[in-house]
Amino acid sequence: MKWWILAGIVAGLGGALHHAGWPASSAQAAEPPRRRAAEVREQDIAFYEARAARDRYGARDRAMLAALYLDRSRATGSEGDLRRAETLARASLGTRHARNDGAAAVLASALMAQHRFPEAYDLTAARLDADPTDAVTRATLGEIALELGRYAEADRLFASLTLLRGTSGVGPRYARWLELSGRSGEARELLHALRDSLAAGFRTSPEQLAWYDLRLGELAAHHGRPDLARPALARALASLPGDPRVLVALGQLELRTGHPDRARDLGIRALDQRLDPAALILLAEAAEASGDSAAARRYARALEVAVSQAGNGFHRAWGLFLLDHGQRVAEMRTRATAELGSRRDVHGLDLAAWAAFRAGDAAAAAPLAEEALRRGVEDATLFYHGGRIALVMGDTATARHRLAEALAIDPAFHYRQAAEARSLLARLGPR
Amino acid sequence: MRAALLAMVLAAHPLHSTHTEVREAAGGRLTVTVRAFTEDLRAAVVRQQGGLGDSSLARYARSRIDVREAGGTGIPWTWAGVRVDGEMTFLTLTGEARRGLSGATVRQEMLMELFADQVNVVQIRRPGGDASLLFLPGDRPKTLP
Repeated sequence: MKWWILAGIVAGLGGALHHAGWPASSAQAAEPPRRRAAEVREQDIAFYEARAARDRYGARDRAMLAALYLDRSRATGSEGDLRRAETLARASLGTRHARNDGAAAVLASALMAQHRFPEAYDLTAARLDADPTDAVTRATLGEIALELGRYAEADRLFASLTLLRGTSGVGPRYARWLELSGRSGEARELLHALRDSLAAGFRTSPEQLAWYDLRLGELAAHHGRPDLARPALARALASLPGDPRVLVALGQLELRTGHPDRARDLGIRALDQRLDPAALILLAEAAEASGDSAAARRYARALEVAVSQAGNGFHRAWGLFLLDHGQRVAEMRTRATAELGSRRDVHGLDLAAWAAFRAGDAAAAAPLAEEALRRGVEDATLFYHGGRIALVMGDTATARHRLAEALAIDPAFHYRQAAEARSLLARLGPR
Repeated sequence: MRAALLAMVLAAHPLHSTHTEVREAAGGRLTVTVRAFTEDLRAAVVRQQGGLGDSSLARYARSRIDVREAGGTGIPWTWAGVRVDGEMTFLTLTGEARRGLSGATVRQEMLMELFADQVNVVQIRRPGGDASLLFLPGDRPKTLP
């Protein structure tokens, strides 16, 4: 799951989870945070399983159990927990449909985690219809609209939440909207403020703080500020030692800043925790950057096997990886284009554009890249792809502008492509 | 964009994997710890062994994990227990590699009979240097440097 979604859920159910014994950062300081949180979660699961078994109509118990399973699925990558979370949330809603926002929120998140965005949208839209004053539901619907590329709707929903952007249920989603509106600086400020507020709070878990630090680190890393990214990611790792998401984010930063050996070590440490396609991509690219093509092929093959049985949706990261390496281009183009039928967001558009370009069809790629860039998202990869496409289309002025913009956003946006962008710009010469 | 895409991959697409640590102590004593999803492991053991006791788990693990010293001698495993922690189950085996793990071959095929997308991660921890191996369905045993 996108773990920014989960943080929203934890925040949304925060009060209830606290009553159920959600870990407080000030307690049990001598224990490793990851272990403590996992242990508490297991105790809570056992507690609510027993309660749910005793009372077959206990809607709240089932909602709490669903939230805990959802949390555990995020931590372990368990498919079974994700299914259990969905089933329990549905059972809870079946017993009590009204005033059961916790179960509905968990169900929406479980659906989003499975990339079932249209279902999550319908569910959340119905909740908002029932209570148009619920800010968290409004923000959740906005977040799903962003995923689906329904930007006008997302803009409208988030615009009405400006005064509530400092609250935990709204803030992370509002920051995501800012980021996808070309306002990354504001997103960063908001995330900082939310993090600081949480850090000063009473019952803030290390996981919550780590979530903010990871987001802040990634934002900085993708905006050419490794100096800000490293301490943020280091803080996240201190809160959650060994967390694979943080290790991969650090590894990506090391790879892009010219340290493939460090990236490989971080990728291996991430694999120690759990199999993660992001770690496999990192390892494949780090091996490639080190000149170890045999290892790169091994990791790429493992990635392919790991994601080969995907039930829902299309692996965009895998697709991008394959396209970058000129593999299975026709297949990836078909899949990326097909996905636009249900999700027309900027990254889906960019992937379809890049696939068309890699297939040698720049004419088809150009309008897709144009549409992807129209929103103004400050993402160097979008500009790089757009620049390459414009160049082949003979529009050198646009190509020059886009390639320069990619490097301005992040001079080290990719371990290989940033250098390619520089080389192309040098060849194009000044205006 | 890459970060956003990568962050989305994991939970959206369930992954089948186990993690195995093979730790070599001084004198060649080996401790193997396997971490697997309980649900998947249960299904595999019941299918192969028809039951789920410790003896069934031990027989299943021995049939799917093989470490051979450089000369080809297989290392016999001693069952050292099982621990269930939430959704994960941890199996521990011990053995002895008299000649150490240099040049040894390793095979880890757990759960591959169930899932075509099974990926088993094996981390070798030894005084001479760590190694990281990935096993996919159809892979041959891998030789350690």
